[in-house]
Amino acid sequence: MTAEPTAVPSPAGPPLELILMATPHALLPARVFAASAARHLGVDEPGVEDVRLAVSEIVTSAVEGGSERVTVAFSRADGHVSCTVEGAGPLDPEGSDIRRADLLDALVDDLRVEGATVTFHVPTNSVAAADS
Amino acid sequence: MFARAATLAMTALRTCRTSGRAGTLTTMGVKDSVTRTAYTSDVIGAGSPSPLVLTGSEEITIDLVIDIYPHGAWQVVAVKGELDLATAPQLREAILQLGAGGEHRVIVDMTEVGFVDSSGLGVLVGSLKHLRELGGELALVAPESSPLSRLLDLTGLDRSMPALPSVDAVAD
Repeated sequence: MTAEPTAVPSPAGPPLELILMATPHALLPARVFAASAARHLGVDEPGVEDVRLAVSEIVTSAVEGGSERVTVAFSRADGHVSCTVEGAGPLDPEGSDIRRADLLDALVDDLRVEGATVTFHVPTNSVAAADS
Repeated sequence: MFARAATLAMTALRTCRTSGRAGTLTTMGVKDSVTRTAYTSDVIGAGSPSPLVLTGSEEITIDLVIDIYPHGAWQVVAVKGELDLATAPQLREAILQLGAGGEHRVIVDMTEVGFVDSSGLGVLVGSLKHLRELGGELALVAPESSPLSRLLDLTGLDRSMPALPSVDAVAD
């Protein structure tokens, strides 16, 4: 792992938000957006991969749950980046082989599910965090 | 500040659009993939300066590239691309066809898979069950640092479905 900075430290600023129709074709753009937003807001590379996977899982639940639209939003807070997904479906529908809620718990911090809204946090890297 | 955020998000979406023509999406680690894209995105800066909202009706799927070749008593299914809800059915279909054709010992080589989530993992688990019902077996190949190995570790499935480092490491 190189010590190259992965993001320009950025101020808290307005949230970055992507709204997509909840279809399987939304997954790739949702992941591109999630990784770019997380990196931009100061998440380091292993964390960016975790965000990419977490958002893919939650948007998949939206597609499987029959949501019409799904909204993925990122904002910077004190020492972490917060992600909110609106329009999520049940994380673990009956009969699924893999426990998605457990996977998300292992990937990210402060996972909260309130109806169709899922939020989580990921820590920012120390360089960007020190700048905020 | 806003302008920079807008530029970033535009870049992310432009990457998708560019990939539609070039057939590669290097930021996602996908190469040599066939791309099917109908991209009709509107980027809306909205009236107020915040938040930055992007809406779109993206139809983006980069198909998996699946190569199948024999290796001793096994058939190797070598996968390239990103394995998610949109693409996993292609892999399931390929393995089902092998099973239906009497090939019940399958190695899925995930070395070139840059992303896999629980949808992809579900297909691997389902295919393993299916091939065992036919009296066969499924073996996984992926490097230790790969997305698949990480996901197997996170889900605890590495104990029942370990990934081997290479096709040659699979026992006959």
